[in-house]
Amino acid sequence: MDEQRKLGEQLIDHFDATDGGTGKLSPELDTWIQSSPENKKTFRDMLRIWRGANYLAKSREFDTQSAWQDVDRQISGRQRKKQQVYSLVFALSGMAATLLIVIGLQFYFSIFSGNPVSLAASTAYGSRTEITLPDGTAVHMNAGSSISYQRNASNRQRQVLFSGEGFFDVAKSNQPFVITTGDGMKLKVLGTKFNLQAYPGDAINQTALIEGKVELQVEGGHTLTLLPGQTASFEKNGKTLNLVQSEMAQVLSWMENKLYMDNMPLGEVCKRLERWYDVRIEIQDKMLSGSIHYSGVLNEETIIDVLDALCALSEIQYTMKGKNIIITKK
Amino acid sequence: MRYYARLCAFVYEYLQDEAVAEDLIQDLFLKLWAERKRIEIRERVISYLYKASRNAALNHLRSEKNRQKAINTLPLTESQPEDEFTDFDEFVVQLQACIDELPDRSKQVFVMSRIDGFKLAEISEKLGISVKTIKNQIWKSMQYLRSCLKQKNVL
Repeated sequence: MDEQRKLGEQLIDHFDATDGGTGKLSPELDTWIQSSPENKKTFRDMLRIWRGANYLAKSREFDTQSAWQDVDRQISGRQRKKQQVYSLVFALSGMAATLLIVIGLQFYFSIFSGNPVSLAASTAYGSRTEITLPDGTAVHMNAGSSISYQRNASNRQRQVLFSGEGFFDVAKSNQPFVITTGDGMKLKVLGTKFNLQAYPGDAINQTALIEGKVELQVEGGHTLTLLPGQTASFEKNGKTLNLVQSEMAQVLSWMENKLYMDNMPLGEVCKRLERWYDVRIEIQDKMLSGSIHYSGVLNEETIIDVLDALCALSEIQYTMKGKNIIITKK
Repeated sequence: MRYYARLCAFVYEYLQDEAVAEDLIQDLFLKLWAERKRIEIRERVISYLYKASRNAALNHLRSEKNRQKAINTLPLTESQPEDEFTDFDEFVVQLQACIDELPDRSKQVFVMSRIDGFKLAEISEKLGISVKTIKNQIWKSMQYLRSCLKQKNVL
């Protein structure tokens, strides 16, 4: 018993001196520990208890109550911000609805005025829509797109002018469906499904074919026929057409409110966000727009969520004032 | 928020700075709240929280200005298997429970020494007992804690 007590004292002394660390053992203690596996285990257990108590002592220094209040305050602050964004979205969707009614009326009158059946529609930044053309073709239009449709009786063609991004489900007909983009590219199809990305500000147009057949034609006569699963890229500067690799699921992800990024530079991400959320994004350090790349899927409800996610992924931060966002280096 | 203090103490081991530890953990909880719809936790929550805390701590250390400071203070346990977080947390929680079960007199001495951080000599002065007796009581408490923790299957 006395020996036990003496041993206890020595161990407490050791722990006290090293504060639960791994300091040098006295020869006596060392001999005791090495003398049996049971002793070794005792020493290890006691060391754990000592350290555990240190840990408990440390954790008592952190005041849960006041921390909780801090966190609570910050969360409610964020939610207020979010609500403001939501009301903005409501206002925008109201505007978009009005726009569609006007288009509808135009269409209605054009039928009864005897003109060739035509239709025009556009989507503002921050809104999307799905329309059905008079020939039965369905078009999902992404933000910032416009379309005008006309049936030309003389050459028996369905003629479409398009800019922006749209997913076309072209109704089958023996009258060719011809899309012209503002930058010298023409698509000719009969009945197919494809995604067309042709924003005026972008350097390239992309056409991704889901099913059927698409014939692409550019100024200068170069043509390319796409097969299902293939994507063509049209470079506006050089007027060249090329087949490129792309994932169909990614190409179509915008319809599910997802943004797939496959090593996408920050500048490109921002360009899309501007259209999707109707905001203006300025990247203060121009180097950043090409030097930071993202891979992954963004599936966020508000621009604030998106920006928070991007900031968490890289060394950037942002400030937001109304619709104007400025991105700077962290 | 019952995990808060434990996580702060955990992160403190890496950072040796209470204020930063609190900042990181509060920030972690804020992020979790903001992204609650997007985050899928496929394991025990406490294990996830420890891992996220460790990552936050390591990320903090990674930023350039903190690197120098960190080199000397990084804990020796570089990588822990996932279960160890849960085991460790369980151990600490049960240790607290066992301390609460200690007989009053031993508890007073043990808590003063180990939790409140009084030096042995200070306790001796306050309670009017010898340092030797105090050491004996702490040792007895530790033996009690050991069997208590064994009973709870965490040792």
